[in-house]
Amino acid sequence: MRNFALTLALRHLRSGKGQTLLTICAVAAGVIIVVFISAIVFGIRKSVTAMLTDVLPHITVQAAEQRAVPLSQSDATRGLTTSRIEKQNPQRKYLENWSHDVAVIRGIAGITAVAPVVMGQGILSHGGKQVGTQITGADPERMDTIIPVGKFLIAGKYHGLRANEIVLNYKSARDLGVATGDRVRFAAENHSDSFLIAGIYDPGRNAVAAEYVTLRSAQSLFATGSAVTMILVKGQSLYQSDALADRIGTLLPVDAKSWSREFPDVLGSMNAYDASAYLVSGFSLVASGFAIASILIVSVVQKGKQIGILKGIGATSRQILETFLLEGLFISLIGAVSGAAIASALIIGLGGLRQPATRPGGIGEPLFPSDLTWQLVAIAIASAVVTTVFAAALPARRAAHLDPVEVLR
Amino acid sequence: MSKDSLVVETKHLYKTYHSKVETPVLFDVNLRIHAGEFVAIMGQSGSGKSTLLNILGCLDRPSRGTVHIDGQDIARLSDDELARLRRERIGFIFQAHFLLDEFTCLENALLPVLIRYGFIPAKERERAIALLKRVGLEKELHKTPDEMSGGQNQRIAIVRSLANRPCLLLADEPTGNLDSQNGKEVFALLREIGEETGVAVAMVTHDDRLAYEAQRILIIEDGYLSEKGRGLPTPVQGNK
Repeated sequence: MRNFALTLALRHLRSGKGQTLLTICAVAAGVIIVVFISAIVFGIRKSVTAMLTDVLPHITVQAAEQRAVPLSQSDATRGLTTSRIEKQNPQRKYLENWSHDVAVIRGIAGITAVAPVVMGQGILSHGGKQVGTQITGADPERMDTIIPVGKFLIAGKYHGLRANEIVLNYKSARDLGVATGDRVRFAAENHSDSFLIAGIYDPGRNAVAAEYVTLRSAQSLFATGSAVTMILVKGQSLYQSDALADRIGTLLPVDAKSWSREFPDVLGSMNAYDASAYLVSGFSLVASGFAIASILIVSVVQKGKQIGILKGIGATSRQILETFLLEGLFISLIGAVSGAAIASALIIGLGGLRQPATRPGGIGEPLFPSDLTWQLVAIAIASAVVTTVFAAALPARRAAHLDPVEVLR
Repeated sequence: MSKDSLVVETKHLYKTYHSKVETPVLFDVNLRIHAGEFVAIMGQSGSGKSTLLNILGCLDRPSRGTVHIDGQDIARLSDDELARLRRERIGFIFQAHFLLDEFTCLENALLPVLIRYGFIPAKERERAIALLKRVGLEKELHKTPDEMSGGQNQRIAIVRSLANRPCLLLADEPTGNLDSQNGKEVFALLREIGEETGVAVAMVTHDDRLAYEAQRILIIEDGYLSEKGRGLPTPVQGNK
């Protein structure tokens, strides 16, 4: 070993085993909290995002509502006038020119999937049993890129769905007591039709109950002619939906609504999760930093005489500074790596625990959804090392500037 | 280094500590110590002995006057240069041995070498082992200080002070913590090694019997340095 500071730092760590272990534990505890809390919070975020991605389009495009404009506004120079606008009764609006709209939306950078759909509500019945439900009519291949029905299939098929076929939600199928191959009747406001159950899917506990038919079947059921009720859109990122919705709104005379504006509480909750994770992680690092600094300060006080004699026999302030910084570095590396390993093992262990399944034979959602990535582990280790070395710098500087005459007196 | 070489030279050395009150400690100290000389420094507690030793050891700087160690004016040296001078030209022995418990007897003896080079060259290791044999510690090379007696530890401290082949060895009451027998042995060892290596030794002691064994006795009283027998407080010039 060709460095005095390195030799001395390693000897200090080896000789003060108890103190070294205590300091390593302080660093490890900080890293465990950082990795564990962050992985769980990011896991919840990922789970919520996946749930939203699976059951919600990022943007819904509907026909724009016509806005009444007071006549007085166009002739305001005549003096004081008052206007009272009666809000129109809600009217079902359709997108007549949807092929053009779809083409325009597809051309916007950041848009990954577009599906024109007809949505409506009605009653599904079989053998005297009835359930209120929502039907979505769309081309299966296009719909699958927005809401992956095919992924959640537990029986039958979705792709290649024919005009007289339907794919039922597991809950609806269970309530009606039907299986694939059975027939059900769906009654809309003015029309009703009979469908063969081609498939049953289960999107999990968070999904909205909906049944799927072809676009043409839905157009027939809800009498939309060749029009669609809305266009569902997905972008590259769930969190860019506001910008994409605004872009669509500027290019087309439609109402484009982003999910984050429709559900601001969800976005707020996820941001609060993130902020909490960063805050807890930051506090943990700072707390372990203080613990390490105080332990090293005690160490410097204990080694005051030794530092004095070392300086007396020719050690430079730089060598003393390096010694204590190296001690901090070794402690932080060992503590951070072991803390990250323990936290990872905990997360992997707890990842096996699951909530009760939503259907017989199904697999429940994870009890602790987590998102443990190497980037998270690397950032936690790097942050702990930087914090610890920073914490060690104070006692190290103090040691380096000790006056040997004072301490040897 | 020849016996006539001047190792220490102070001219009109003053030292005053500046804190809430100014405390003058040394007054007009003029001192010369040559290579191979063995000088005892005596005086009451608080008279300024340790302050003088700290200045000669480059651990402290004079308030006024000049101090040359091995020909170098210490007032002109930076902290790192002073550390280098201590590391390469000066050996220290303290009342307490101040050995490092983290290191073995041999490693402690070689600390100045380790500080200087970052590792221990084989030649220096052989020399240290020979010196440890010389002080009767050949069987204790790999023991740590807490496994050895006070006398043994002080002998290691003597070997440590010689590890860097100093031209000046400063000993601040090296026998103060030892019983009389061990004290005599350590003192004899210091004198013998001083004669063998040609190093100049300046030793602070309260023990008259040991001081009389030195070639010169310097007395510090109330900050004034004088040579014993010449009356106090006449400053000494240090020439033999």
